[in-house]
Amino acid sequence: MAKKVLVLATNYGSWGEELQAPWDALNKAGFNVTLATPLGKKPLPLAVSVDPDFVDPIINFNVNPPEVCARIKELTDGDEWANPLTFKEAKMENYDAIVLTGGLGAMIDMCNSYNVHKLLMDAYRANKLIGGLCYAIASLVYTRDPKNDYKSIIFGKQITAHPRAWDFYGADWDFTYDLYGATEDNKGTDVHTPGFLWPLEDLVRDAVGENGACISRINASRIDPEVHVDWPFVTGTSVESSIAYGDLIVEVLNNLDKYKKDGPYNK
Amino acid sequence: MDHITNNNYDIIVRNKMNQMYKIILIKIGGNEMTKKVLVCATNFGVWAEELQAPWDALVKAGFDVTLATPQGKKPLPLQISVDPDFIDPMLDAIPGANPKVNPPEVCARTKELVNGDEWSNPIKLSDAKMADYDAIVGTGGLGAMMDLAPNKYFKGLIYEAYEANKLVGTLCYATAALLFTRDPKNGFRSIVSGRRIACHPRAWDFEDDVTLDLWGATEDNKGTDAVYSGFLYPLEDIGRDAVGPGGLCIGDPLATRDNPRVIVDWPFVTGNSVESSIEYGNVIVEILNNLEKYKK
Repeated sequence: MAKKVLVLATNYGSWGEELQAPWDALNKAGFNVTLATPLGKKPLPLAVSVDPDFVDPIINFNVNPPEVCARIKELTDGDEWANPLTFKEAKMENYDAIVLTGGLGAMIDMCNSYNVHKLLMDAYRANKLIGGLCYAIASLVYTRDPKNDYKSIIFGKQITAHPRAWDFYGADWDFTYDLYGATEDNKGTDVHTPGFLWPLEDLVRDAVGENGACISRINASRIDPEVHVDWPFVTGTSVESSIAYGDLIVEVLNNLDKYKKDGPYNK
Repeated sequence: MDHITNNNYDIIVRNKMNQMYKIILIKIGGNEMTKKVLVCATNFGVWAEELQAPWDALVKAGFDVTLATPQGKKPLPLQISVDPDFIDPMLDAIPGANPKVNPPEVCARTKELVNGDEWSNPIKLSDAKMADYDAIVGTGGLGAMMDLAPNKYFKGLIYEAYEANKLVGTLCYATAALLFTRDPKNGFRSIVSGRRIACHPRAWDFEDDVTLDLWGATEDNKGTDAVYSGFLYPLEDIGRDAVGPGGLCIGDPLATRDNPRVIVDWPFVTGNSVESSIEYGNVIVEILNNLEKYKK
């Protein structure tokens, strides 16, 4: 039977490839994939994330391959992403796995969403695969287990994190969330922030604790990406690891006998 | 001069000299003792009393108070924080708690400050220099989660104050800045690692979507249309992580106006939430007026 996968994305600006790459990998693998967003609106990419000429100012690198930008625009302009569920409508009992995708917008409308935490906790208790990429991993940091003194669900685990050295903290405070394909009904937010909203690597280090591990490799790249499995968590560093993230989730879901470990967790 | 012996004359002169000396001392000391305090607030929506109460306490104490915001614009309060009829949805669900968190007189006083000039010309956080101040005081509100706590200039000022052993105060969600300020000299642990701090309790964190509508908004200073999914981060939880096993992070859901929660662990003064705003201001005043007792 085809595995059912719930993919979550922000309405305030995804990083195009961090949704597109796992989305395409999961569909190509023949899974039954459902998309959910905070508002139930199409998840639009940040304009900078579909600009092939964009040069990441921190790592001084051209991070958006032209073919990736073209594919994201194709998906955004098409119907595949047109009718997502809202986070609130999604029920974890209907899926075998939950897959979080990144982007700056996720920090505002996804990572600390009560509904996302509920989905993640339900997946955790039911011993289902939980995927996190880039800044969406904050959702795992922020999901707390009341049966474990409100420690994070990643306490004691090995988790990747967007490296501190790559965090944007702009020259001044202007950091906007302009979307590609914005419409009057789906225009994101006018907010501008002083760079990222929290230091992810530091928070992951705190959350996994002394017996866990935070994997923040600043030399991760497209040819040498960083993704990691510590069941039930599959995590990936940042945009350069998007393809590897999708591929690894496919690999794990197709070989659960090999990867799945005993749960449930503090049921 | 006949009736004044040499001895008497000597004493009178000495007393006179002593008086003058005292006056000179008081004048010099007075200048030195006018503490300079940098108060920081968000441009995306303060919780009214969390700025108003410490502001009024610090000004009343005679300190030289400077206001700073991310954009250098007047810090405006969230509409729900100046509405005396606002019912806090989380407190409303807790038996015995008072969900009416905004006393009418606090709302009126905040509106007076917003309508007046006192807050009209804050400096930009990026222009503030910690060397010019004796203390830094952060104030809360939903907007502070977005443009204040993560703000690199605010965190930079806090780190400078920490290094220079100056008082660092944060209230409610502004305390996130202490968690986000990392010490490269201590394995990038938070500067409050191993410390005792107060923070907004988990039980009071909003769970539903919340907008940041401002009271007194203008075209030039209108905040943001962003809608949060509840709050932006679970402060008590990441606070517990950040202080670590040797520290203590207390989000006190039993704190009230009559029994507020402010914790001092020099150089940090931290306050629970809005109910502790007055206490927060008063404790900072008490400490700055008695540094020999509190400073470590």
